[in-house]
Amino acid sequence: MSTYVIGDVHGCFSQLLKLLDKISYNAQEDKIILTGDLVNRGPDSLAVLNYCMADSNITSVLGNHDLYLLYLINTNQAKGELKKVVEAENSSEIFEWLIKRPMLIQISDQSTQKEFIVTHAGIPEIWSIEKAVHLAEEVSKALNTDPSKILKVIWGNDPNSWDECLTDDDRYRVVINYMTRMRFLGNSASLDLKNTSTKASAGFKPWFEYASESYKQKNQFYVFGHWASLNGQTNNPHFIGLDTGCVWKGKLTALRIDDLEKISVKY
Amino acid sequence: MKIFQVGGSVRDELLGFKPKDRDWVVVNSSPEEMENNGFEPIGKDFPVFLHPKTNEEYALARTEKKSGVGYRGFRFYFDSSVTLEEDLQRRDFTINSIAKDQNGKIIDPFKGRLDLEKKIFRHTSSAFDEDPLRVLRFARFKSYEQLNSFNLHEETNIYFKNIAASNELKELSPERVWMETKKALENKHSEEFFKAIKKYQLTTPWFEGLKNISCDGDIPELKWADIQRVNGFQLSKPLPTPKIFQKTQESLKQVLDLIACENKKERFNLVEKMNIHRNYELFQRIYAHSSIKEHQNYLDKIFQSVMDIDFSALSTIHGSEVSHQKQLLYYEALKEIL
Repeated sequence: MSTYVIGDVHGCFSQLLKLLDKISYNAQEDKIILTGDLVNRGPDSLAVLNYCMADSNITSVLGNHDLYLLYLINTNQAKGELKKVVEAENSSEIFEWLIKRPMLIQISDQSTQKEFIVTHAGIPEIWSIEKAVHLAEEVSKALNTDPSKILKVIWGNDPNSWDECLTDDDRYRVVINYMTRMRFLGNSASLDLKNTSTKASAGFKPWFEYASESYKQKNQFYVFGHWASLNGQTNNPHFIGLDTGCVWKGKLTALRIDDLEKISVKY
Repeated sequence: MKIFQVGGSVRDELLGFKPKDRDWVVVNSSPEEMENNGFEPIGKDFPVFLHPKTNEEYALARTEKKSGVGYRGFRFYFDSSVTLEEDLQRRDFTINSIAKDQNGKIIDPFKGRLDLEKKIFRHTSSAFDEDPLRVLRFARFKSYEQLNSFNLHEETNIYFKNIAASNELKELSPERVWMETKKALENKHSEEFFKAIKKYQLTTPWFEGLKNISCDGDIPELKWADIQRVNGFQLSKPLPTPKIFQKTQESLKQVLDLIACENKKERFNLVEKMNIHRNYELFQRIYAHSSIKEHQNYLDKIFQSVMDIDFSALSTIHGSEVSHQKQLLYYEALKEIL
């Protein structure tokens, strides 16, 4: 019985199947958590969704592309690469399943006393785990209470940093931007959402470099996807990047929680 | 190939001003030859290159012909036979149509130096009205310290009247109009830009409703906010002003609304909406603005009190409570002042 976290699938259905095969996934015993961005860009987003929905041992945190899909279904916009999903017969079922995925999943491994925090993009150092869990729950609750309203207001790059005073739309937007879009942070945890490379602009550095000092001694591991160009390189064992660019002809990677073993399949 | 220094930098040097950046014209050359010499092409529609070391702009000599309405209806013709004089002739004003060769010799076929002495903006050729942006460029030139006392030649004024009457300003792209405006706001006499626009009736459609003119402030954003202030914050809505300009304008309006507000509860709401603690530097600048000078003490007290609020208590409560708790913190901090 093992738990695996798998990086961004992005519609690469056959690679997902290959990877599950390679790790000898057993639907009776094992658990799978995806780092989000199940859809878009790759060849078969719909098949990925249908497969995951049918298996209650597979779940995911929400990624920015998943939120975008929710928005498209909610506003009935069949366009671009997600057209097929929006037009699918079971699109409302997909919506109901996907919107219930959390922003954050915490895994505690009893035997090793290790704790894993899975999000799509990461957690800024300014938030404790407890704080991040609260905020993630707040956003999920808002999303599920009034999806049409929330899915409209979460887009954009403002405000660019967290502030305890933020309320309503601004609050949801900034929490979602941290948890699903963050790469580089600057002063006061300000987000640089335009830079998608691996090279930081002046005054910024990767979010996990701020957090690295304070979490070194603890048994905490941050597992995330989103940043394909990193290719898993964080230079810190406590920050585990799993997006290895499957959709960009790279690899799809799984992390086995029990022994921190990484298993990959090529595109 | 022969290279000449041209345009505003020659003009400024003749006026005894150090030019910001220099432009060059290359005669008897070709795009191929330029690239072979290490120049980097940057122009999409016409052959402009960057010098590999100085990064200054080098353009192949060209002529231009109009092929439609407005700036976009332009065709440029360049080939190695276009002369320096032909290139100078397509330029807007005589004072901008002077060239200097590599030995420092001035080439001035349109008597630009005479107009510099007489302090006159005179059209270089009858093709002046082929580019309506030129009237706005003139307004921008008026904002330069070295040109603000220059006047428009009466014959050139006729072109201005025709352009204003022809509706051609409408055809300009909003981005180009904003570029002229922004450059004017960066200059010492920004108000001269707006004065010229008003005086020569160039307000339609980009500066509709321009009635009063005031451009106080030490940065372009604040000057823009000030011209907005004296025109009811309704000026130039179609222009693509960057976020920081919009934000500065909006913040100045908030401060003025606060000063004018007579309802105490409403004043609390206004201060809260300003988000002072997130926009510390911006509000510091705004509070120093001339238009609210007499309220500076009052504003300063508000400012400091808000900055002193300890919002950390909000970090442990649920998101749905934040709004209410924040109001209480503002109330506690400001009840004696507002």
